[in-house]
Amino acid sequence: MKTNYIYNPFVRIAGYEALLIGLLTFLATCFLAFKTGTHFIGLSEVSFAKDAPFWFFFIENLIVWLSLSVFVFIIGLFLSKSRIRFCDVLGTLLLARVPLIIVPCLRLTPAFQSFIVGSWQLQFTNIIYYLSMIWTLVLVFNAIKVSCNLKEKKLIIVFIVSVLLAEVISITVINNLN
Amino acid sequence: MNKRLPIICPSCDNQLKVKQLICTHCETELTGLFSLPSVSRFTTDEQNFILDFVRASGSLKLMAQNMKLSYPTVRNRLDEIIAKINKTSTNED
Repeated sequence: MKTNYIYNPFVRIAGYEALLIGLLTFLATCFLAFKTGTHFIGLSEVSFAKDAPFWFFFIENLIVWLSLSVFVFIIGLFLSKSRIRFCDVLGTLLLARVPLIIVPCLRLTPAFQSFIVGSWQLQFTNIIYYLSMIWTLVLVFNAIKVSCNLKEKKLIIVFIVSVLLAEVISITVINNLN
Repeated sequence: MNKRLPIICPSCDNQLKVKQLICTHCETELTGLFSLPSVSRFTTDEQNFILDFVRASGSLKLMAQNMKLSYPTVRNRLDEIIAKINKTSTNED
């Protein structure tokens, strides 16, 4: 079974093991987000603003992760023929967020600090930002594929619907937190 | 060299049946029309998976540990085999 573990580590890691590894990087991401003022408002939306306590960054990330997990699990229960476990959905989707740790780190780079519009350093930082977001989405896709045992149309439906619903819920709840 | 048992007709893609059997000890030959066992319709990988599943007393957790794979990966593979068995049974009925 040949699998690229960079895009699909869930073939080997899922459930509580993924939850533990994911939780450690989740906390590190929250801490770096707090230090750099990086707000993860949804899975694809990021904004930068400081002067908020640590718990606020933690809650933001928690809402984005939990809302996606709940939607994937509920829709997965209806569409999957397998007996899916909530701990697998939670664990794999938390592990899928690992590349997001790169985003607050980019804020610390000299290119972002000086913010010279049009400079190649800033463009390079942007490319890394988009790559980490794409990597996260690919991981989310594969997390759903493995944890819910879905393929083809059903997998695409669950991915699109749950990401969109989670995005709407996350943005609404986080904006009301402010 | 391990020869694979052909189960599908290369000409029309239908299931093959056994026409002749031989005892390699006394060279007795039997001729008739025998069906292949259901297990022979699975690939070698699938057959090994079924054997591992029985050896692990049906514990997917134990299988996942032995195969160094995650629990849902092993469960998904089992579900694929179950689907294949169900499809074969439906076709036979």
